[in-house]
This record gives sequence, structure tokens and C-alpha cells, in this order.
Amino acid sequence: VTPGAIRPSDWELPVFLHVLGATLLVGTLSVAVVALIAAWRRDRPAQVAFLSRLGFWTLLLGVFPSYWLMRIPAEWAASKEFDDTDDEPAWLGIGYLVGDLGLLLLILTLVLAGIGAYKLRRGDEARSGLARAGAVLATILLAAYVVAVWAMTAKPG
Amino acid sequence: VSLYDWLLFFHVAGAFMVVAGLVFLGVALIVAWRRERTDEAAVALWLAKPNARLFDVGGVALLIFGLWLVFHQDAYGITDGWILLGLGLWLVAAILGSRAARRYAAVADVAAAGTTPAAELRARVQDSTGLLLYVLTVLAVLIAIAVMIFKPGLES
Repeated sequence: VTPGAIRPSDWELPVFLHVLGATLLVGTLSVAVVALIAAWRRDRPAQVAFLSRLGFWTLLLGVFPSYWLMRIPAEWAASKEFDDTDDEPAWLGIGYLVGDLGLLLLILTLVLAGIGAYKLRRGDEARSGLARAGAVLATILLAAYVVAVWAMTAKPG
Repeated sequence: VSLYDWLLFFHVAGAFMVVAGLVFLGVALIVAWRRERTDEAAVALWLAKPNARLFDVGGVALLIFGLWLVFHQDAYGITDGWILLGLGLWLVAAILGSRAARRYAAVADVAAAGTTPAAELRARVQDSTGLLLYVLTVLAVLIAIAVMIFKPGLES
């Protein structure tokens, strides 16, 4: 446990950027989840297509850059706090697991939501199973990030 | 997991909710900014709806668990400069953010009614007072996060 009171000052910039990225990541992902689920629940094809596009673009322009703003400073902060010989604490392992698997899930979500939104825009179909799959994956991703936030702050182990 | 860690988690969770609320409103404004169609502007502004609830609940959690942390942790004192600065920024963000939220919730209601022309909705979205309230709230929250992490004045 490293309360802020005893955190060395040279850790603070990477921690600040990491926290900023994480808050933006969860915020933008929440918007994408709400937009994609709303697209799922609405009946009017124009609104379904619009919300699906909004969800996709929020993932691409909001969630994806925020992920890197969270992840790169995380590595920077970890390199200052732990050296290669240290045993990795459980909370850091959870962070890495959610961060790295989360990136794969995010890319998959982007692809599904993107193709789904494209098909809806072209009017190929009134409903898109791919966009719905994107909504489910984005929701799972959001839940995983909430667990990661808990691990990063409560620091189990 | 110690009490300190749980308090920190709920304090940080509050901060995440506040930022999420601001992101909801920000995305709604960006998307609604130049909409030519009223129905699309209405859907975009509908996204601003969770803003107020997230901002209110998150703000209260942030304050309660933050103060609890201060009284729980010996290293912190309620009269420390960085804590007073944080409380001041919380107050500024709460006042300006709730005014921005109310303002745009009203625009969302007007848009949802579907009777207002798109041009008038755009004018309301692009209203400089609302935007100023929003930008100042974002700045206050950003500075507050920096203050909470850098803790200026606290001995390492």
C-alpha cells in the first residue's frame, strides 16, 4: 500500500496521467455502452443506425486513445515503483490482466461495432447482430475496468 | 484490504463517476453541435441525461469518502493547503457543473419534444454561457485530480 502521503514525488506525473486516462477510459466506454444498448432497444431504424454509429465513433475516438493514456503511464509508474526483481503484487497482476486482455476485447468490440454500424448505415439490415455483440462486449469490458479500478485502489494482496 | 483502501476506492469511484458525467455531457454537445436534423439532435442530447445523476452521486461520494479519508489518515489534516484547495475546487465544480447540467437537461427536454427547429436547438447547444459553465467545470475537476495526486505542500 502506498498512501499518497509517502508516495515519492517522481511517481506523481505518471500516476496523474494514468488516473486521467483511466477516468476518461471508463467515461467514454460508459457513453459507448449506453449508445450501443440504446441502439439495441430502439425501434426506429434511423435512430438505431445513428446510435450504433455514435457508439462506434465513441469507441474509436474516445475509448481507444484513452486506453493508451491509461496504459502507457501505467507502465511508466510501474517501472518506478517496482524493479524486475520485485514480486508482482496481486493488484498489479489484475491491472495487467485487465489492461492487456481488455485491449484485445476492445479491438474486437471496435471491429464488431464498426461493421455493425456500417451495415446499419447502408440499410442492409434494420437490426445488426454484430452491433449487439459489440454492445455485450463493451458492457463486459466496462465491468472488467470497474474491477481493475477496485484492484488499483483497494490493492488486494 | 484495509479501511484506508476501501475509503480510497469509494473516493476514487466517485471521481470516476464525476468524470463520466462530464464525458456524457461533452459527447452529447459534440454530437449535437452541428446536427441538421432535430431527431438526431434529440437523440444526441438524450445522452446528456445521465450526466446530472452521475455528477451528483459521484460528487457526494467523492466528498464523503474524501473527508473520511482525511480524518482516518494521520498524515492528512483538514486544514492542509492541498485539502482546502481540493474542497474549494469541489465546491466550484459542484456549483458550475450542476448549473451546466440543469441548462442542458432543459435543452434535451426541448429537443425530445420534437417541435423545435434544428437551427434553434443548435443555437441552444452552442450557447456561450452553457459552454463556459461546462468548460470551467471540466477545468476545476482536472485541477482537482492533479491536486489530489500531486498533493502540493505535503511532505513525502
